[in-house]
Amino acid sequence: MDPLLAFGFWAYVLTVAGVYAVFVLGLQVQLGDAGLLNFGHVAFMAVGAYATGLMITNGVPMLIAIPCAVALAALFGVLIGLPTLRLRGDFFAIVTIAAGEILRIIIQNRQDETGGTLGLRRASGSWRETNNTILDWFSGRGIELDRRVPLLVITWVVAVLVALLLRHIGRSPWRRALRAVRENEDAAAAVGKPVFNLKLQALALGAAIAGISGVLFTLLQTSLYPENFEPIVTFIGFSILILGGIGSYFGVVVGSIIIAFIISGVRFLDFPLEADKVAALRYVVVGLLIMGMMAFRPQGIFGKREELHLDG
Amino acid sequence: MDELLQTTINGLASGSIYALGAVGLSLVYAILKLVNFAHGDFMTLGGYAAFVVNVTWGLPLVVSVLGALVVVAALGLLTEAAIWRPMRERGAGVMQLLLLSLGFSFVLRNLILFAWGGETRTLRVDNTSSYDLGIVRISLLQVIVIVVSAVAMVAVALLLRRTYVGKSMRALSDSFALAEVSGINTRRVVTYTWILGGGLAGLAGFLATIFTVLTPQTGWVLLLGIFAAIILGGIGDPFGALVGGLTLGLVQEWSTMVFAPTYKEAVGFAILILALLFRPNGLLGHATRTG
Amino acid sequence: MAESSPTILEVDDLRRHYGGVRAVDGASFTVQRGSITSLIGPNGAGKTTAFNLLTGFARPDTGRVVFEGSDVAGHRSDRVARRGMVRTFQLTRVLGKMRVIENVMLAAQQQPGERFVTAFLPTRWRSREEEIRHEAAAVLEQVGLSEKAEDYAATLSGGQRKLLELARALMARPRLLMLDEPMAGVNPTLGREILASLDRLRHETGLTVMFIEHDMDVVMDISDEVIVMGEGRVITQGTPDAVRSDQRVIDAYLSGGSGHE
Repeated sequence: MDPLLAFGFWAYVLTVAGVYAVFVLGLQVQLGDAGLLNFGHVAFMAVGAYATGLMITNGVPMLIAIPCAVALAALFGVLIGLPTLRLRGDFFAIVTIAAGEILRIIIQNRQDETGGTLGLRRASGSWRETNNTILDWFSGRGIELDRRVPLLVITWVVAVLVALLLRHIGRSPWRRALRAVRENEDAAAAVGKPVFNLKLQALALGAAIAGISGVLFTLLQTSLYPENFEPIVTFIGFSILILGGIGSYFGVVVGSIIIAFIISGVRFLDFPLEADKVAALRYVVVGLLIMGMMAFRPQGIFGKREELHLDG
Repeated sequence: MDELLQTTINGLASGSIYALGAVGLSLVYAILKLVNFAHGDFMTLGGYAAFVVNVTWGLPLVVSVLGALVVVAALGLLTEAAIWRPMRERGAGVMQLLLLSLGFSFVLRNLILFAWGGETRTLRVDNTSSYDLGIVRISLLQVIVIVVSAVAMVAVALLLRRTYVGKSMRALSDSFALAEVSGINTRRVVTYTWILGGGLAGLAGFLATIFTVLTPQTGWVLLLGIFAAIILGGIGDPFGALVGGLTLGLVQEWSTMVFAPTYKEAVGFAILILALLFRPNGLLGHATRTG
Repeated sequence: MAESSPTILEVDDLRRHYGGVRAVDGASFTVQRGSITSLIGPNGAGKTTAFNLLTGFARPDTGRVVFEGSDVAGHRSDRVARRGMVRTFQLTRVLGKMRVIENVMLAAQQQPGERFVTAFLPTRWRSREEEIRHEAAAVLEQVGLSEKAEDYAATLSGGQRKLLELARALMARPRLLMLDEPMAGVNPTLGREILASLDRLRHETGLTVMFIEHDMDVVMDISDEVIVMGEGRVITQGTPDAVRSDQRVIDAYLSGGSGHE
C-alpha cells in the first residue's frame, strides 16, 4: 500500500502532533513567557493521563474525570513550584526532572492501582463507544469517516483553542509582568511585581495545559504505561519548542507537525534498513535539528530574535 | 548490621560510578560553563569502545580501558573544536549551550544505537567470583570498580592540586577572563579539560559496563543521578562531586533496607530535592554574598 | 496618623554581615517627607548594601526599617515596592528584550490585568492600559526618551538606560524614590534637568527622593539633607553646609576610598 494514501495512518500521526502541540504550548508558557526551564514537564502530562484513567476505570463519568484531571495537573504544578521556584534556573530544571522521575517510578511500582508496567487498560473508558456513535451519526448522513477522524478533530480543536487562549492573555499586562520576571527578577520586583506568584501561576498554567495533553493522550492510546512518560517526552517537547521558536505559539503548531512526522511518520517511508536502525536515525535527525537551530537560529522558525532570552 | 555493611559495599561501588561521571561533568562545567547533557552518552560510547576492543578484537580487558579513555577524550576534543569553541566565540549563553548539548546527546545516543543495535552487551569479565569476608560478600567486580575509581580520584586530585595544568584549570574555573589576562594559555587548558573530563567519562562508562550491562541507554539513564551527585556536592567543585556521588550511591543502597529496591532511584532523586531545598549550595557549600 | 508624620523613613541600627565583612554595621538615620536626601560616603562605606537592605533586596541581620509607620525590614522586595519605596540600580537592570515603553508601562501600579484571572478579561483592564500607555509616554517625554519608545531597550546606551530606570521608577508613583547613582553616565546638562524636574515633582506631589551620588557639587546643590556613611555606619546627618564643614566627614573620605561597595 502506498503510505501516502494510508489516510488512517496520517490521521494518527497528525493526532500525535496535536497532542504534542498542546503539551508544548504548556512548555511555551513556562519557558517562553516565564523563563522557567522545566525538564520534568512530562510529569504533568502523566498526572493528567493517569488521573483520567484511574477515575474512569473506577467508574467516574468521563466528563467529570477530565476537568478533575486537568485541575490535578495544575495542583501538582503548584505543589512542585512552591518549594522549588526560588532555586536557580539550572537547579530548577534538575529538580523538575527528578520530581517527574519519582512520579513515574511510583506509578510503575503501584501495580495494584495503576497496572504498573503491565499498563492501565481501558483508561479511556467508553471513548471507543462514543467514537462509534459519532461515526454512525455521520454515516447515517452518508459521510463515511475513518475511525481516527473524530479524535484528530477534537485534538486540534483543543490545540487551537489553547493557542488562542494563550494569545488572548499574551497581550495582557499579566504576561508583560511575566516577561519582565523572565528577563530580570530584580527589575520586576523593584517596581512591585510579585515575582514568585507570577512564576507559580505560569508553572501551574503550563501544568494544566500539559494535563490536557495527558487527557488527549489517554483517549488516543486507550492504555497507559509508565514508559510513555519517560523524560525523553519532555525533551521531544523541547525540540518542538526550539524548532518552532521560543515565544511563538504558532511555531509550536508547526514544530509539532514536523517533529511528529520525523518520529512517527517516516516509519512508513521505505528505507532499505532494519526497523530499529531507522528508529535511531529519526532521533539523530531530531538531535541535529536541535543543534542546528541552537547554533544558527536560536529563535526558531517563528520566534523573534530580539525577544529571545536564553541566558537564564 | 550485616545488611548495613552489605548495602554499604554495594553503595560504594555504584556511588563510585556516579562519582567518576560527576567529577568529569563537573570539571567541564566549572571551566567551560557547559552543562553537558551528552555526558552520559559520552560514558556509553566509552562502554562500546571497551566492548569493541575487548570482545570484537579479543584484546585483554586492561587494553579495553585504554580504548574507552582514548575514544571518549578524542570525542571531547572533537566536539570542542567543532561545536563548543565556535559557539563560545559567538557568545552563546549557558542555556543555548545546554540545549545544544541536549541535541548532541540525541545524536550520539542514536548513532550508537544505529551502529551497535539495542541488544545488551557484556565484556569478557569474570562476573561470578566473589569473596566472603565473613559478615559480607564482595564481588570481584565491586572490588574492581571501587579500587579503579579510588585510584582515578586520587590521580585527579593530585593533578588538580600539584601540576601546573591542574592549577591553571582551577584558575580558569574561577574566572576565564582573568586567567586569560594573566597569561595562562586558556586554549591548552581547555584541551586538557576535555582530555581529563572525557577520559573520566570513558572510565565511568567502562566501569558501568562491567558492573551492569551495556545498552545505548546506559549513560543516559545514569545522567540524572550524576547531576544529582554534582548538585549534592556543590556545583563546580570536583571534590564535592566525589562526595556527592558516593553519598548518592550509599543512600540509594541503604534505602533498600526500608523500601523495595525498585524505589532505589526515586529515593536518590528525593534526596536530591531535599538537599536542594535545605542546602542549595551543596553538602559542603557555604552561603555566598549576593546582590 | 503615620501617613502625615514628617518622617517618611526611619532606619534604626541596621546590620548586615557577609562572612567576616561588616557591610552595614549599625546604621541609623531618618528621611524627612518631601525632602531630597543624599547618601554619600567613600567606596565600601556600605551605601548600596544599605539600599539593598532598605528595599528588601537583601535581608538585614538585625535592625528596623520603618517606612511610613510600619517596619518593612526583611520584607520581600516587591512588597516594599508596592508600599511605595521604589529603587533604581547602580548597574542598570533594563529589560532589553522588551520595548522601552513596555519597560515603563510595566511599572504602573493598580493594573488589574496583572492578576492571572483578570488577564483573561480584557474589558477589565483595557481602559486602564490606555491610561498607562499615555502616562508612560509622558514619563518618557520627561526623561527625554520619547523617540526611543518603540525600540527594544537593549539598544539603549548606558546613560539612556539610567534614564529608563528612572522613568520606570517614576512610573510606579513612589512616595519614596531611591536612586542609586542616577547621574552616572548621563549627560550632565540632561542630568541637571532631570534633577530639576524631580525637585518640581516633590513640590507638586510630595515625593521624597533619596539618592546615592558621588558628584559633590550635585549633592550640595540639590540636597536638603545629607547622610554620610563610612565603614558601614552613619558618620553624620545634616544640612549640606553642616556636613561640608564636619571634620569627621573629611577624615572619612581621606581614610576611606578602598574596599568594595
